[in-house]
Amino acid sequence: MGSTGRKKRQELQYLLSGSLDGDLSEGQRRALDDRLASDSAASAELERWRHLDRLLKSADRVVVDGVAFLAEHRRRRACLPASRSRIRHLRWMVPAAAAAAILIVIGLWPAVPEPERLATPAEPTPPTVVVLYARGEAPVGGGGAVIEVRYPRRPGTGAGQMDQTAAGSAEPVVSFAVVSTGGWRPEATGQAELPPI
Amino acid sequence: MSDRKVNQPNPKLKPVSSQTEGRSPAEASSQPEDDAGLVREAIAGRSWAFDRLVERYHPRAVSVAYRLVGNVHDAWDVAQEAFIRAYRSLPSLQDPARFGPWLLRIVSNLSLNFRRARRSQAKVSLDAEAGSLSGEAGRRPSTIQAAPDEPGDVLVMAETREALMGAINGLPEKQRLAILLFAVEGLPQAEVARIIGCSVELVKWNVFQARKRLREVLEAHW
Repeated sequence: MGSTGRKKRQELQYLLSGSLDGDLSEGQRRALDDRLASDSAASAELERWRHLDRLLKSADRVVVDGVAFLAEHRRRRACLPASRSRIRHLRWMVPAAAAAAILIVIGLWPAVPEPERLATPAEPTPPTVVVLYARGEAPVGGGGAVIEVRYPRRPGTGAGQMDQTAAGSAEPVVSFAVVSTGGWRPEATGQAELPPI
Repeated sequence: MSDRKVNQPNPKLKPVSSQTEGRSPAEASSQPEDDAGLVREAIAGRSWAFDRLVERYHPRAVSVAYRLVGNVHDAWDVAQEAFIRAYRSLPSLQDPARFGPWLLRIVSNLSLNFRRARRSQAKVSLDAEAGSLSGEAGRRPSTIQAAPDEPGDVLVMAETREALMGAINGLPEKQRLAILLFAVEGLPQAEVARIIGCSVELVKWNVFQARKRLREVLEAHW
């Protein structure tokens, strides 16, 4: 078959294929009809193309058990990690949780007492001791003197009894222990320089 | 009358077990039936909507996969994988109304990848292959329904069909896809174009080339 014959055959086949699909224009359809009317070989070719089309359309069909397929799909879907689309619905929870945390901190802050809020306690300031001569006796050499203890930054004063003197000391120094301070401080110890008598 | 039929789908067409599962009666009564509505519901996290899409498209998905991979067991797996991928990528679907072509494109791509991978795999012993198929048949309940034979010699028709399928398998990829989706599955040319990702004209050309090739191969059987 020459190149012209091959080209004509190719054209016929293209028209036949188009006619099977209903894709031919009016002019193409008329040209094909004319060719088929005058060319028996073309009619035989058309029959073969139709036969091929019937074979293709009548191929074996797959029958699937839909219930089993869906069950298997659900099983596989359940194994998936949470999808982004589902996480997207939880996006608002992150800022909401942050806002809630901030509100809680702000709300609780005034309730915390200021001194306890600090982790390191301040260095205690020693009390000021004033020795009173309640009994009219010199404090050196014996107990019984009434003393007054004043604590800085605390309201009120406490009182106690001097129970020991610093014997042999060049300076009149008394050691004392406060055993009763009016209820707000159970005891305290310290040294105080004795005021001149 | 016809509108009413469209709005009230015949419940016999769907497995009853999955129709209302996971849905309140109110949801079930107002559920969307079109693909776009179901896709939107599924994206919103309502799994029953995606179940409906699976019910609607699994026969076509398995069938297309079967044409491309050549056996029903692998076709089942490929179709399952395609639905899972579709589910995960659902938010990226730009036009929810085109779920069908989009899904079948996934099926086609997975099937072609499967074929390529199978071709490059090491040769499996016949015993092992037979064992795996018989073992898996139970959990993939799909069957092949033989085509009704035309009047004439049944054996000749069966032989011709076998030769035809062999010839289809030997076609170039684009031609095989076009002829299977258009002439065998009966999808419209425009839909085939969307699935393959080409123009309608190219689909027509590929179908024509495939028919010509098949006609030559089947010359001996006519």
